[in-house]
Amino acid sequence: MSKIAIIGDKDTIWPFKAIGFNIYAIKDIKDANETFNQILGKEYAIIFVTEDVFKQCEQQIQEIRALPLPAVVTLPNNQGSQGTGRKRLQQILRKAVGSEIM
Amino acid sequence: MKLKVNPNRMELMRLKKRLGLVRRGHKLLKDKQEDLMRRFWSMIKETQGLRLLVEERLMQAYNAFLSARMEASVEVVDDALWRAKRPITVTISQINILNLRLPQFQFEWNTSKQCPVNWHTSGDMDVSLNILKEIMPQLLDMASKEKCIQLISEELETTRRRVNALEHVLIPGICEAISSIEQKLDEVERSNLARLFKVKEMVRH
Repeated sequence: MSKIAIIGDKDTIWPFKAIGFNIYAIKDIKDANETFNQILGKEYAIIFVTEDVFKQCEQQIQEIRALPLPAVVTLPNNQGSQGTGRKRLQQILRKAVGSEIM
Repeated sequence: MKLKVNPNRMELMRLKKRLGLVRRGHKLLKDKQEDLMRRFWSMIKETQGLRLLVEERLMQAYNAFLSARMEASVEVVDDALWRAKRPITVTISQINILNLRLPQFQFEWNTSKQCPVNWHTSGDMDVSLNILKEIMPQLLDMASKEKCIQLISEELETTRRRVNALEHVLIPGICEAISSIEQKLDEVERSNLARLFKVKEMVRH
């Protein structure tokens, strides 16, 4: 019995309300850290974040990366993708293998 | 690594047994590392393709929503979303790979009602919501794959450190200790022999 949360600017995450996500809209990017901490306390299975929020909360997200839950996934915001998801994978690849092959 | 040992035969035996164990453990860990690496690679390839697909569809959904948003007021949009809302339950199952617990996500819509048509908003709203509903399975799949990738990479790092520690520190240390004990034992034996010869000489005269 778990839920999904999404954090980002209102215009981007609004439609996700209709598919059952719990949306957490933030007006100022600086509020993201606090919102993220609040959400961590609520035991979501998956937390989707927009790329801006990811950059802002990068350290908090790094700290929980070894836990099996929650899964934190980046999504582009409605301005377009900045490739953050791809960069994240590349970083993990580099650390694991020692070189960026992809 | 300097192992402190007494230079006697019992220690030598113990050390040799230990070396066998450590070598077997090292081989097992190396196999684990290779297997982890293989799964890691295949997951990364799958995830990259999945992410491209999801991001593309998301942009379509966002654009449709934006145009619907521009044509309607905040209240209308909110109302439409609320009407179309389908609460969702996510179930988490666990898969065990090589002593790692990896989560997999499945979901179910809580209600089976059909999504009502929105009369007050443009067709773009429906388009947008339909795309989002369509890509739900991919979103969850991506979430679980990316999480698995993170967990596997942590495990890979730990395993790699252990393999290196065994290979470069422990095994050479044990081998060094073994050879130093063997040398000492040879020395003792040689000095014994020398003494025996001397005694024999003395007894003969």
